[in-house]
Amino acid sequence: MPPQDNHTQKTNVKKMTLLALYTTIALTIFTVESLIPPPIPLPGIKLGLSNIVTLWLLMHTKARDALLVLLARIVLSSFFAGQMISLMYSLAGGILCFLVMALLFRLLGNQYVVFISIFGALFHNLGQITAAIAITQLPSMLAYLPALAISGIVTGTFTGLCAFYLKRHLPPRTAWPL
Amino acid sequence: MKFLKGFLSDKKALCLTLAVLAVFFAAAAAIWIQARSSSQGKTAAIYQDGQLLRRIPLTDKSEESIKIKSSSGGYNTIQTAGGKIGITAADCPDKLCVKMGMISSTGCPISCLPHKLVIQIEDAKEESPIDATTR
Repeated sequence: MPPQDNHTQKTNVKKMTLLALYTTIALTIFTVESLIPPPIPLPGIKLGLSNIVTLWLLMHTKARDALLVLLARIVLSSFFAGQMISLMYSLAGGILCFLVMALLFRLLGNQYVVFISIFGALFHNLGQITAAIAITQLPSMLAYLPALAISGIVTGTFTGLCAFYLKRHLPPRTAWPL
Repeated sequence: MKFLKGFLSDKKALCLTLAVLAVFFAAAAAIWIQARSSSQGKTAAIYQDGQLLRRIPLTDKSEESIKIKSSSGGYNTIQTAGGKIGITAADCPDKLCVKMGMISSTGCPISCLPHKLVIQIEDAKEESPIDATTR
Protein backbone atom coordinates (compact mmCIF):
# COMPACT_ATOMS: atom_id res chain seq x y z
CA MET A 1 0.00 0.00 0.00
CA PRO A 2 1.56 3.32 -1.04
CA PRO A 3 1.96 5.85 1.75
CA GLN A 4 -0.74 8.48 1.65
CA ASP A 5 -0.04 12.07 2.47
CA ASN A 6 -1.83 13.68 5.33
CA HIS A 7 -4.29 15.56 3.16
CA THR A 8 -5.80 12.63 1.24
CA GLN A 9 -6.03 10.65 4.44
CA LYS A 10 -7.98 13.48 6.01
CA THR A 11 -10.40 13.72 3.08
CA ASN A 12 -10.86 9.96 3.09
CA VAL A 13 -11.86 9.98 6.74
CA LYS A 14 -14.07 12.99 6.16
CA LYS A 15 -15.74 11.33 3.20
CA MET A 16 -16.35 8.10 5.06
CA THR A 17 -17.89 9.99 7.95
CA LEU A 18 -20.12 11.93 5.59
CA LEU A 19 -21.27 8.76 3.82
CA ALA A 20 -22.02 7.15 7.19
CA LEU A 21 -23.93 10.25 8.26
CA TYR A 22 -26.02 10.22 5.08
CA THR A 23 -26.70 6.50 5.54
CA THR A 24 -27.93 7.25 9.05
CA ILE A 25 -30.20 10.02 7.78
CA ALA A 26 -31.62 7.71 5.10
CA LEU A 27 -32.14 4.90 7.63
CA THR A 28 -33.89 7.25 10.05
CA ILE A 29 -36.22 8.55 7.36
CA PHE A 30 -36.89 4.97 6.22
CA THR A 31 -37.70 3.79 9.75
CA VAL A 32 -39.98 6.73 10.53
CA GLU A 33 -41.74 6.28 7.19
CA SER A 34 -42.40 2.61 7.86
CA LEU A 35 -44.53 3.70 10.83
CA ILE A 36 -46.95 5.47 8.48
CA PRO A 37 -49.69 3.02 7.47
CA PRO A 38 -50.13 2.79 3.69
CA PRO A 39 -53.34 4.50 2.53
CA ILE A 40 -54.05 1.85 -0.13
CA PRO A 41 -53.24 -1.76 0.77
CA LEU A 42 -51.19 -2.80 -2.24
CA PRO A 43 -47.67 -4.20 -2.03
CA GLY A 44 -45.12 -1.57 -3.05
CA ILE A 45 -47.11 1.58 -2.33
CA LYS A 46 -45.12 3.89 -0.10
CA LEU A 47 -43.83 7.44 0.02
CA GLY A 48 -40.19 6.56 -0.55
CA LEU A 49 -38.95 9.52 1.46
CA SER A 50 -35.48 8.06 1.89
CA ASN A 51 -35.06 8.60 -1.84
CA ILE A 52 -34.58 12.28 -0.95
CA VAL A 53 -31.12 11.34 0.33
CA THR A 54 -30.27 9.55 -2.93
CA LEU A 55 -31.51 12.51 -4.98
CA TRP A 56 -29.59 14.91 -2.76
CA LEU A 57 -26.34 12.98 -3.13
CA LEU A 58 -26.80 12.60 -6.89
CA MET A 59 -27.16 16.39 -7.07
CA HIS A 60 -24.05 17.11 -5.04
CA THR A 61 -21.49 14.38 -5.46
CA LYS A 62 -20.45 11.38 -7.53
CA ALA A 63 -22.98 8.69 -8.41
CA ARG A 64 -20.65 6.12 -6.82
CA ASP A 65 -21.00 7.69 -3.38
CA ALA A 66 -24.79 7.93 -3.71
CA LEU A 67 -24.90 4.24 -4.67
CA LEU A 68 -22.82 3.30 -1.61
CA VAL A 69 -25.22 5.11 0.71
CA LEU A 70 -28.23 3.56 -1.02
CA LEU A 71 -26.86 0.00 -0.79
CA ALA A 72 -25.87 0.45 2.86
CA ARG A 73 -29.34 1.78 3.65
CA ILE A 74 -31.11 -1.09 1.86
CA VAL A 75 -29.01 -3.81 3.48
CA LEU A 76 -29.25 -2.30 6.99
CA SER A 77 -32.98 -1.60 6.76
CA SER A 78 -33.75 -5.18 5.76
CA PHE A 79 -31.66 -6.34 8.74
CA PHE A 80 -33.82 -4.18 10.99
CA ALA A 81 -37.02 -5.40 9.36
CA GLY A 82 -35.79 -8.93 9.97
CA GLN A 83 -36.98 -10.29 6.63
CA MET A 84 -34.32 -11.31 4.16
CA ILE A 85 -36.92 -11.65 1.40
CA SER A 86 -37.65 -7.93 1.61
CA LEU A 87 -34.00 -7.34 0.72
CA MET A 88 -34.68 -8.84 -2.73
CA TYR A 89 -37.57 -6.48 -3.42
CA SER A 90 -35.72 -3.44 -2.10
CA LEU A 91 -32.57 -4.25 -4.06
CA ALA A 92 -34.41 -4.85 -7.34
CA GLY A 93 -36.38 -1.62 -6.97
CA GLY A 94 -33.56 0.44 -5.50
CA ILE A 95 -30.89 -0.45 -8.05
CA LEU A 96 -33.15 0.01 -11.09
CA CYS A 97 -34.38 3.33 -9.67
CA PHE A 98 -30.81 4.44 -9.00
CA LEU A 99 -29.55 3.59 -12.49
CA VAL A 100 -32.39 5.51 -14.14
CA MET A 101 -31.96 8.52 -11.87
CA ALA A 102 -28.16 8.64 -12.27
CA LEU A 103 -28.56 8.50 -16.06
CA LEU A 104 -31.24 11.21 -16.06
CA PHE A 105 -29.13 13.52 -13.87
CA ARG A 106 -26.36 13.19 -16.46
CA LEU A 107 -28.74 13.88 -19.36
CA LEU A 108 -30.92 16.60 -17.85
CA GLY A 109 -29.19 18.31 -14.95
CA ASN A 110 -30.07 19.19 -11.38
CA GLN A 111 -32.93 21.58 -12.11
CA TYR A 112 -35.11 18.69 -13.33
CA VAL A 113 -34.92 16.87 -10.02
CA VAL A 114 -38.74 16.57 -9.72
CA PHE A 115 -39.04 14.72 -13.04
CA ILE A 116 -36.01 12.59 -12.25
CA SER A 117 -37.63 11.64 -8.94
CA ILE A 118 -40.87 10.67 -10.70
CA PHE A 119 -39.08 8.43 -13.18
CA GLY A 120 -37.02 6.99 -10.35
CA ALA A 121 -40.19 6.10 -8.44
CA LEU A 122 -41.75 4.54 -11.56
CA PHE A 123 -38.70 2.37 -12.18
CA HIS A 124 -38.50 1.48 -8.50
CA ASN A 125 -42.01 0.06 -8.71
CA LEU A 126 -41.21 -1.66 -12.00
CA GLY A 127 -38.18 -3.31 -10.40
CA GLN A 128 -40.24 -4.49 -7.46
CA ILE A 129 -42.92 -5.98 -9.70
CA THR A 130 -40.21 -7.77 -11.67
CA ALA A 131 -38.81 -9.17 -8.42
CA ALA A 132 -42.32 -10.20 -7.33
CA ILE A 133 -42.87 -12.03 -10.63
CA ALA A 134 -39.48 -13.72 -10.32
CA ILE A 135 -40.11 -14.80 -6.73
CA THR A 136 -43.75 -15.88 -6.96
CA GLN A 137 -43.41 -17.02 -10.59
CA LEU A 138 -46.87 -15.63 -11.27
CA PRO A 139 -47.18 -13.11 -14.11
CA SER A 140 -50.50 -12.03 -12.60
CA MET A 141 -48.45 -9.77 -10.29
CA LEU A 142 -48.50 -7.38 -13.27
CA ALA A 143 -52.05 -6.54 -12.23
CA TYR A 144 -50.56 -4.24 -9.58
CA LEU A 145 -48.47 -2.27 -12.09
CA PRO A 146 -51.03 0.39 -13.17
CA ALA A 147 -51.92 1.32 -9.58
CA LEU A 148 -48.24 1.36 -8.63
CA ALA A 149 -47.45 3.61 -11.61
CA ILE A 150 -50.00 6.19 -10.48
CA SER A 151 -48.79 6.01 -6.89
CA GLY A 152 -45.21 6.35 -8.16
CA ILE A 153 -46.07 9.56 -10.01
CA VAL A 154 -47.69 11.05 -6.89
CA THR A 155 -45.00 10.02 -4.40
CA GLY A 156 -42.18 10.75 -6.85
CA THR A 157 -43.46 14.30 -7.31
CA PHE A 158 -43.56 14.74 -3.54
CA THR A 159 -40.03 13.46 -2.84
CA GLY A 160 -38.73 15.37 -5.86
CA LEU A 161 -40.23 18.61 -4.54
CA CYS A 162 -38.67 17.88 -1.14
CA ALA A 163 -35.23 17.57 -2.75
CA PHE A 164 -35.85 20.65 -4.91
CA TYR A 165 -36.74 22.89 -1.98
CA LEU A 166 -33.96 21.45 0.19
CA LYS A 167 -31.46 22.46 -2.45
CA ARG A 168 -33.00 25.88 -2.67
CA HIS A 169 -32.87 26.59 1.05
CA LEU A 170 -29.77 24.81 2.32
CA PRO A 171 -26.42 26.46 1.67
CA PRO A 172 -24.52 24.34 -0.91
CA ARG A 173 -21.46 23.97 1.35
CA THR A 174 -23.46 21.94 3.88
CA ALA A 175 -24.31 19.23 1.37
CA TRP A 176 -20.84 17.91 0.65
CA PRO A 177 -18.22 19.85 2.64
CA LEU A 178 -15.08 18.30 1.19
CA MET B 1 -47.14 33.49 -13.51
CA LYS B 2 -43.45 34.03 -14.01
CA PHE B 3 -42.87 30.45 -13.00
CA LEU B 4 -45.46 29.26 -15.54
CA LYS B 5 -43.92 31.32 -18.35
CA GLY B 6 -40.47 30.02 -17.59
CA PHE B 7 -41.89 26.52 -17.56
CA LEU B 8 -43.66 26.85 -20.92
CA SER B 9 -40.53 28.16 -22.63
CA ASP B 10 -38.55 25.19 -21.31
CA LYS B 11 -38.91 22.49 -23.95
CA LYS B 12 -37.29 19.79 -21.82
CA ALA B 13 -39.67 20.35 -18.92
CA LEU B 14 -42.63 20.35 -21.29
CA CYS B 15 -41.59 17.05 -22.88
CA LEU B 16 -41.02 15.51 -19.45
CA THR B 17 -44.44 16.66 -18.25
CA LEU B 18 -46.03 15.12 -21.33
CA ALA B 19 -44.16 11.86 -20.73
CA VAL B 20 -45.36 11.72 -17.12
CA LEU B 21 -48.92 12.53 -18.18
CA ALA B 22 -48.75 9.80 -20.82
CA VAL B 23 -47.70 7.25 -18.19
CA PHE B 24 -50.45 8.51 -15.89
CA PHE B 25 -53.22 8.17 -18.48
CA ALA B 26 -51.91 4.82 -19.70
CA ALA B 27 -52.02 3.55 -16.11
CA ALA B 28 -55.50 4.99 -15.55
CA ALA B 29 -56.71 3.34 -18.77
CA ALA B 30 -55.15 0.05 -17.69
CA ILE B 31 -56.98 0.22 -14.35
CA TRP B 32 -60.23 0.97 -16.15
CA ILE B 33 -59.78 -1.94 -18.57
CA GLN B 34 -58.81 -4.19 -15.67
CA ALA B 35 -61.96 -3.28 -13.76
CA ARG B 36 -64.15 -3.76 -16.83
CA SER B 37 -62.72 -7.08 -17.94
CA SER B 38 -62.62 -8.65 -14.49
CA SER B 39 -65.51 -10.85 -13.60
CA GLN B 40 -66.81 -12.72 -10.59
CA GLY B 41 -64.88 -15.97 -10.44
CA LYS B 42 -66.00 -19.27 -9.04
CA THR B 43 -62.64 -20.69 -8.07
CA ALA B 44 -59.81 -19.36 -5.98
CA ALA B 45 -56.29 -20.65 -6.56
CA ILE B 46 -53.68 -20.45 -3.81
CA TYR B 47 -50.06 -20.35 -4.89
CA GLN B 48 -46.98 -20.53 -2.73
CA ASP B 49 -43.35 -20.41 -3.90
CA GLY B 50 -44.67 -20.46 -7.47
CA GLN B 51 -46.55 -23.73 -6.96
CA LEU B 52 -50.28 -24.24 -6.95
CA LEU B 53 -51.19 -25.37 -3.43
CA ARG B 54 -54.89 -25.89 -3.98
CA ARG B 55 -58.02 -24.66 -5.69
CA ILE B 56 -61.06 -23.78 -3.65
CA PRO B 57 -64.52 -23.49 -5.18
CA LEU B 58 -66.19 -20.30 -4.03
CA THR B 59 -69.86 -20.77 -3.38
CA ASP B 60 -72.17 -18.67 -1.24
CA LYS B 61 -72.62 -21.44 1.25
CA SER B 62 -69.11 -22.75 1.69
CA GLU B 63 -67.09 -21.48 4.60
CA GLU B 64 -63.59 -22.64 5.18
CA SER B 65 -60.54 -21.58 7.12
CA ILE B 66 -57.09 -22.75 6.09
CA LYS B 67 -53.80 -22.07 7.78
CA ILE B 68 -50.82 -22.04 5.45
CA LYS B 69 -47.26 -22.21 6.70
CA SER B 70 -44.56 -20.50 4.70
CA SER B 71 -41.10 -21.89 4.08
CA SER B 72 -39.63 -19.17 6.30
CA GLY B 73 -41.73 -20.27 9.28
CA GLY B 74 -44.57 -17.74 9.04
CA TYR B 75 -48.24 -18.38 8.55
CA ASN B 76 -51.31 -16.97 6.79
CA THR B 77 -54.88 -17.85 7.68
CA ILE B 78 -57.08 -17.90 4.61
CA GLN B 79 -60.83 -17.67 5.01
CA THR B 80 -63.62 -18.17 2.51
CA ALA B 81 -67.11 -16.89 3.21
CA GLY B 82 -70.06 -15.78 1.12
CA GLY B 83 -68.36 -16.47 -2.21
CA LYS B 84 -65.31 -14.43 -1.25
CA ILE B 85 -61.80 -15.27 -0.16
CA GLY B 86 -59.24 -13.37 1.83
CA ILE B 87 -56.47 -13.55 4.39
CA THR B 88 -57.75 -12.90 7.90
CA ALA B 89 -54.56 -13.31 9.92
CA ALA B 90 -50.83 -13.44 9.23
CA ASP B 91 -47.54 -12.85 10.97
CA CYS B 92 -45.83 -10.98 8.13
CA PRO B 93 -44.43 -7.58 9.12
CA ASP B 94 -46.68 -5.30 7.08
CA LYS B 95 -49.98 -7.27 7.18
CA LEU B 96 -50.77 -5.92 3.72
CA CYS B 97 -52.30 -9.24 2.76
CA VAL B 98 -54.85 -8.91 5.58
CA LYS B 99 -55.58 -5.28 4.72
CA MET B 100 -56.29 -6.24 1.10
CA GLY B 101 -59.55 -7.67 2.37
CA MET B 102 -61.81 -10.25 0.74
CA ILE B 103 -61.93 -10.62 -3.03
CA SER B 104 -64.21 -12.40 -5.45
CA SER B 105 -63.28 -10.91 -8.83
CA THR B 106 -60.54 -11.89 -11.24
CA GLY B 107 -59.05 -8.38 -11.34
CA CYS B 108 -56.58 -7.94 -8.53
CA PRO B 109 -54.95 -10.89 -6.74
CA ILE B 110 -54.16 -10.91 -3.00
CA SER B 111 -50.51 -11.45 -2.23
CA CYS B 112 -48.34 -11.82 0.81
CA LEU B 113 -44.93 -11.19 -0.71
CA PRO B 114 -42.88 -11.88 2.45
CA HIS B 115 -44.43 -15.37 2.51
CA LYS B 116 -44.44 -15.75 -1.30
CA LEU B 117 -48.17 -16.46 -1.13
CA VAL B 118 -50.66 -15.40 -3.80
CA ILE B 119 -54.41 -15.95 -4.03
CA GLN B 120 -56.04 -15.30 -7.32
CA ILE B 121 -59.55 -15.81 -8.59
CA GLU B 122 -59.97 -17.83 -11.73
CA ASP B 123 -62.84 -18.29 -14.10
CA ALA B 124 -64.38 -21.62 -13.31
CA LYS B 125 -64.90 -22.63 -16.91
CA GLU B 126 -61.25 -22.66 -17.92
CA GLU B 127 -60.02 -24.01 -14.60
CA SER B 128 -62.28 -27.04 -14.32
CA PRO B 129 -60.43 -29.98 -12.82
CA ILE B 130 -62.03 -32.27 -15.41
CA ASP B 131 -60.91 -31.59 -18.97
CA ALA B 132 -63.82 -33.36 -20.67
CA THR B 133 -66.52 -35.93 -19.99
CA THR B 134 -68.05 -38.51 -22.30
CA ARG B 135 -71.14 -40.60 -21.99
